[in-house]
Amino acid sequence: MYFFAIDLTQTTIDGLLFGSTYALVAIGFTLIWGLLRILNLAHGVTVMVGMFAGMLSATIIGLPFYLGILISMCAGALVGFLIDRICYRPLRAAHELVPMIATLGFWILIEEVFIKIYSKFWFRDYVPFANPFDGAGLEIGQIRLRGDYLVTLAVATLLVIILYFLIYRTRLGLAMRMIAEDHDIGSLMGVPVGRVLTTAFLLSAAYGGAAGYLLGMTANLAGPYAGSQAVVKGLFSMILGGAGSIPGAIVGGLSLGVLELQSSFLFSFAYRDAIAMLALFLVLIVRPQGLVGKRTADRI
Amino acid sequence: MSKRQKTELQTIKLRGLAGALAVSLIAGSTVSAQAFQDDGTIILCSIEPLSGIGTSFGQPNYLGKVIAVEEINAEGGIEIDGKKMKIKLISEDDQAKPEQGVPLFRKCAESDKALVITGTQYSRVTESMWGLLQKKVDDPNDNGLQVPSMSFLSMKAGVTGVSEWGFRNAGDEPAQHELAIKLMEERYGPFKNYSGAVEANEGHSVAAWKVAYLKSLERRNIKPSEYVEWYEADRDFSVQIRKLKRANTDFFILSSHVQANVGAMLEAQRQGFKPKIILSHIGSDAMEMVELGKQSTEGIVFPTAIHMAFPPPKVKWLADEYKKRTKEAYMPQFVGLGYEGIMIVKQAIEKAGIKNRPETLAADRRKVRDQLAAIRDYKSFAGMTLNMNANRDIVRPTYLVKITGGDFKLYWTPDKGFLF
Repeated sequence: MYFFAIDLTQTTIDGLLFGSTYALVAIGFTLIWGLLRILNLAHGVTVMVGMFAGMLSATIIGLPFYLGILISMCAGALVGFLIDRICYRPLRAAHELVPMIATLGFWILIEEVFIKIYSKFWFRDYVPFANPFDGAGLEIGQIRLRGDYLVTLAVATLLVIILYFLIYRTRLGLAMRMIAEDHDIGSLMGVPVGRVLTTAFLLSAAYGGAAGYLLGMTANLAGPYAGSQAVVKGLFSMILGGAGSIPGAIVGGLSLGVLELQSSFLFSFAYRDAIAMLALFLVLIVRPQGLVGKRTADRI
Repeated sequence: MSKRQKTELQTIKLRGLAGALAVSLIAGSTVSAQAFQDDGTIILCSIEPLSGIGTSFGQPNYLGKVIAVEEINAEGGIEIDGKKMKIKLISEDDQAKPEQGVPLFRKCAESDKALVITGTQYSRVTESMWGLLQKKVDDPNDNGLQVPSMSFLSMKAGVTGVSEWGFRNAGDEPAQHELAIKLMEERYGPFKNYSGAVEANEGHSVAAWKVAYLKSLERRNIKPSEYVEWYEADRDFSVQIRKLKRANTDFFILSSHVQANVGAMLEAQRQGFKPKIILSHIGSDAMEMVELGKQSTEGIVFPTAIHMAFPPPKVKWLADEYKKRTKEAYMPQFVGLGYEGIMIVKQAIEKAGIKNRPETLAADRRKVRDQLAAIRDYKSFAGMTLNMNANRDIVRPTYLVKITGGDFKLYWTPDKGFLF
């Protein structure tokens, strides 16, 4: 019983720490959903590109962690810019399903091309991702907090604070919130809608890039399929927490982390994802707006 | 934006598009299959995972085939009807996905008109591809494809049962692991707690656990102390490793492939989980185990079919060839299996007495198939004698490898026993 209690606590903490990367991916999704009501299915590409940019900077060039994160965010932002210019901007006037399908096409195209290029450079399924915090950690009695997970949580927290500052303390944030309510009114009020939306794509993708770095670092490896996996986890987190809500993305990501590990610990490894899905169904039945989303259209 | 700027932007976009197209075309190019055998070539197909999750196994296997084909062609080719014909190896990439492998298999059989199809690595893909084949030879009610196919891996027990046109050169996995457990017990036993970890979404690992490891344990009246599962793409193994540690596991069976293995072993290192023995399968035979896993993978033991430390000079030559082409210091067994597999197919073609003409393709395929089924006392380049059994599996001796000092060292051989 003693060990059970210890392991239960340890698993909850690991889940919360691990879930912070899911939250970062979910924030990227929720920003675009909140502003445009489209699912940016190409968001996984920003995670993958961020992961490889991070791998190149950390493992190949040997840059310090904080620079690597910045480079990953820039690389992700570059992809976000392309998504805006290719998948959204030319299709603004079309039905909202059209840009969503365009992002799906972009995702598949980039991933396929990337895998082919990757295979030419690396004779491997995965490449090493330097993790300077591996082995480090914090012992609190019988509970051990992984150093790299703590760093992940710290970075995620910092990025969330920055995002809140941007949204609630700057003119850009004000413009975003106005556009989230209504594009036309925003435009009539003199908000440069196109530019603000491009910024939102850059921001969303930069967060995806950071998530890619952190996912690669904590797994000690980078692989070309990281984006696909991130899309599933990120979307799940967003819906669980409440689509379009930044607090929802955070709660959803952390909850998913705990849910995955606890279902493995308490029930079965084999049904881990099924249990997570069941939990999502139950949450949506009780609260269709997600764990912290509002019933009314609360966009960002 | 000015008109000039717009034009420039359009030019950039077009260039970008053209560039992307060129990259994808170059990257995805394979040997064209327009010609048939009558232009003086024998067409063989190779389907392997050359990109994606199976790259670690597929690329080395394919390179082994390429080296063999180049060697055969450099010697003039295969003698058919008194005339030397070169081999044309058509390469396809199944990305370890059944839905990709199946149409490629059909393409190789129908459009490319390959005499023999070699591949693939992942059992789930091989089973799916071979599902297109006629199940029983000469069954008039079965209009499945009739082309001999040989996989140089697909370790899952019973894969060749899918079709009598399917053959395998990889080894008998249940026998391999029975031997490995016996040897480990003799040398390091007795063990108190046997536990297993299985990659639950990977057919071979699940089958290896059920058909090989679990059966071996049952024969010893041993019930696993702990059993955990994970998925190929999992990134957190903390719960599973904690359970294995809590079970005081001293004999750990790792039925899983490289990515999950690395993640799990790194977590084992973090948690201080150190069983006396870690027994794995061919999924651990990849450089990533030591490159990514570093110290955490030290001590893992797994069976192998061919190892670069085998005495015949040809093995060292192959390892050197492989190194020359890839800069890889370690040659995984898949290279040797690919090389050896093509040489086995070559011998079968030579003995079959085929005509290699469009109108004789069906008959030629049948003759080659029968020769593959009849392989007896084949002298492998790796120094062993091979035979095809009734299940169309090549019977071969087992060797053990141990990850030691960041290297894959030959650990046990049938003739010398433990080497260190």
